[in-house]
Amino acid sequence: MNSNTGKKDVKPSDGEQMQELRKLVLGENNQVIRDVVEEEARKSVASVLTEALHDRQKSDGSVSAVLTPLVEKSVEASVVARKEQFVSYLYPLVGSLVRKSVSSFLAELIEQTNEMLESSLTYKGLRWRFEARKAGISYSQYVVQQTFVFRVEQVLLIHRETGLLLRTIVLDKTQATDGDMFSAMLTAINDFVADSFSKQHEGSEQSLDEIKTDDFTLLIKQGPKAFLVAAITGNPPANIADKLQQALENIHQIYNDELNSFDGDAVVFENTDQQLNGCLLTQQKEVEVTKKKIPWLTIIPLLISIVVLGYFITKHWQLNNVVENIQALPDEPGIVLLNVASCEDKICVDVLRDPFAEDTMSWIVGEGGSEDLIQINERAYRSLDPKLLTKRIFNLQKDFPELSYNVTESKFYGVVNVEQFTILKARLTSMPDTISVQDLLSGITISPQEVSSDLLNRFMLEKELTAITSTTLDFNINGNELSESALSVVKRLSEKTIKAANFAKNLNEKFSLVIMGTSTKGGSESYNQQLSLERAETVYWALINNGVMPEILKITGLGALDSNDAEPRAIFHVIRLQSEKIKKVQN
Amino acid sequence: MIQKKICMLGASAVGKTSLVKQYVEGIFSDRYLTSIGVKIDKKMVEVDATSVQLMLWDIEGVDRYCGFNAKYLRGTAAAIIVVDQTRPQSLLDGLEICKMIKAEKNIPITIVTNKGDLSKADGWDDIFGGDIQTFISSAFQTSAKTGEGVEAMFTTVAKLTLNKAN
Repeated sequence: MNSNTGKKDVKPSDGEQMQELRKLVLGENNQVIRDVVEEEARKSVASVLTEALHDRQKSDGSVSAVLTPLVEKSVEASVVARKEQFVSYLYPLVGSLVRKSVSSFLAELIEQTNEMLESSLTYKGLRWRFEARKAGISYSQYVVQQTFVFRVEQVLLIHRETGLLLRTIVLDKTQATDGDMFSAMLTAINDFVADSFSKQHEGSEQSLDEIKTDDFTLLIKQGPKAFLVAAITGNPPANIADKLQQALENIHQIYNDELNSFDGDAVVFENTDQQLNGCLLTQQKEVEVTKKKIPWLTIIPLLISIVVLGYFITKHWQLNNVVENIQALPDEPGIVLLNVASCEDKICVDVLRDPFAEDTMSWIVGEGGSEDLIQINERAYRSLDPKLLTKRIFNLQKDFPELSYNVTESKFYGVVNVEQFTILKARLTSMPDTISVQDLLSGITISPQEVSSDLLNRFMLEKELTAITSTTLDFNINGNELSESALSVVKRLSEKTIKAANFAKNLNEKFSLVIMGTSTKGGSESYNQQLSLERAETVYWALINNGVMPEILKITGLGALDSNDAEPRAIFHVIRLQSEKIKKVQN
Repeated sequence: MIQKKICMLGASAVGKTSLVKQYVEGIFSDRYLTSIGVKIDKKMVEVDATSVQLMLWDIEGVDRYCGFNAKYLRGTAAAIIVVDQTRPQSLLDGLEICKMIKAEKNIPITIVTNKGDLSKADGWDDIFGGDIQTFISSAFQTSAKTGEGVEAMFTTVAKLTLNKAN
């Protein structure tokens, strides 16, 4: 009752009523709703999990940062627990991986060797080495400076409170600095700066933002628990500071608890590699596409040398080629190749050549030689080559236009006089060729010889005179009459005398026919003389009667000749009255 | 590996740098070069199978006229205050430093009486037995010149840092 009375007496306020009502509907501490949500939680989260992860990853990339160490740990635990199974999974891959790795290593080694050679042996490489030494830095550092617009060499995550190094990432392991010492010293310097300079605002300290050295720019991004330092070569762009800031914020967000409770054990920060790696930015200088200066002073003499050398080699090759071609020429009738050799810039060809053989130059050039390159030294000789016979005969034939030569039958045809025939025969006989002159000439007709009238007249004159002087006329003893037979002799004698007189006339000559009568010793000398004269006269008149011109006849009586067997007869003697012309000729 | 920042403090010319040099590099030089600002060295030490890398901040000498940059103490796991037993004044300075440290941070402080190879100054023990003991976690007698007590001192400091951590 009291309680009821009490309840009536103490009216709850509106707020309390509402709270009471809420408690009744939703349960203690919204238990009803929480139960419902929890009941549906799995379903609700499952329906948006993928999208949510995607959106968060896209916004700040923290999902992969969180998942990466979890996955790594999971894989590590799985490998440790089920090593054999993993080995069987990986076994088929290992072979190809090893091969690929080895080939990649070799390719890299070759590339590095090439680069080393290039950087060591080129002008640029040597100049860079000199410049690096002058600047007092290592060659590799200088190359980096020259090659990159900027390059983040090292990123350090430093605990702000202790100055201890939490994590560092180095691009080039060979250039790594002592991160621990660096971190401590940088913190000390930062402390020094903060202590040395007055505070800008209450609660905020001066702090280092950037430190520049000859080679490096140290870009420092301060966070509440840690700071991020990037050692950069070259000229860093503005956006790199944003990148560092973003990474630092990300680290603070993810590792806030670890940073707060840091007690010197930096193992937990190993997973910050992903954020730090994102800060290792690089921008390479654009390769200057400068048109390379062409070293004409070197190239021109080189080209000239090459051209000259090429010319001489070609010339030499050409000459050798021609020499070989000439040596390989087919035999030519009437030409004997003695020697072919290079002499200065030409080819000297020594040959024996028959005058009727083909021209030596034509023979060589006709087979593909060059006239300009060839110098011919000829010596004449007579070739016995049968192929030259025809040429020789045709040449001979030119002197005998009345003859034709039949090549097929190897015979001359035509008509020549004796004199020409004799000359032709002599020339053929003098030819060195083994030919049958008789066969060659067998087709030739010799024309009758024409005797000159003078010669003929003389010949006939001599003939007639010889016949006249050899004639004798016999008489009877002691008689001066001509017998019948003697008269016929006188008649023939008259004819001959007339002919001879005509011939002599043609020859413009004269002669006298002396008729000499003889007698036997029987009578007296005077008688014999008379008788012999009478006998001469008898013949004289008989000749005149037969037409002989009396002016050419002379008579004389010889009397009895001093001979025992002297017969009474008439004998004849011719006295030639030769002209001046004939005398001269005879002389 | 665990890293620990250790600050070396003390009056000028008490042998802070020499102690660090003796500990880190094992060498001693009679030449005195005053430290300016801070010089940092590191040394790895094994404590109960745990590798501890001590980052030794050798802070420039402090005297009565100038304090030290308190920011150097940030994050330090332990402090070593070096005093010169030939100069009682250095002990007084050390006491002041102790107070300053305690005002800033509650960290283990080790007081190191250096130059143990030389004669102790008169009245040294009277001063040393005073209220300084209330501030310190451990005390060592060392000689940077001979190396006596140096290794043990740093190892103990390393242990102190771990204990604190634990």
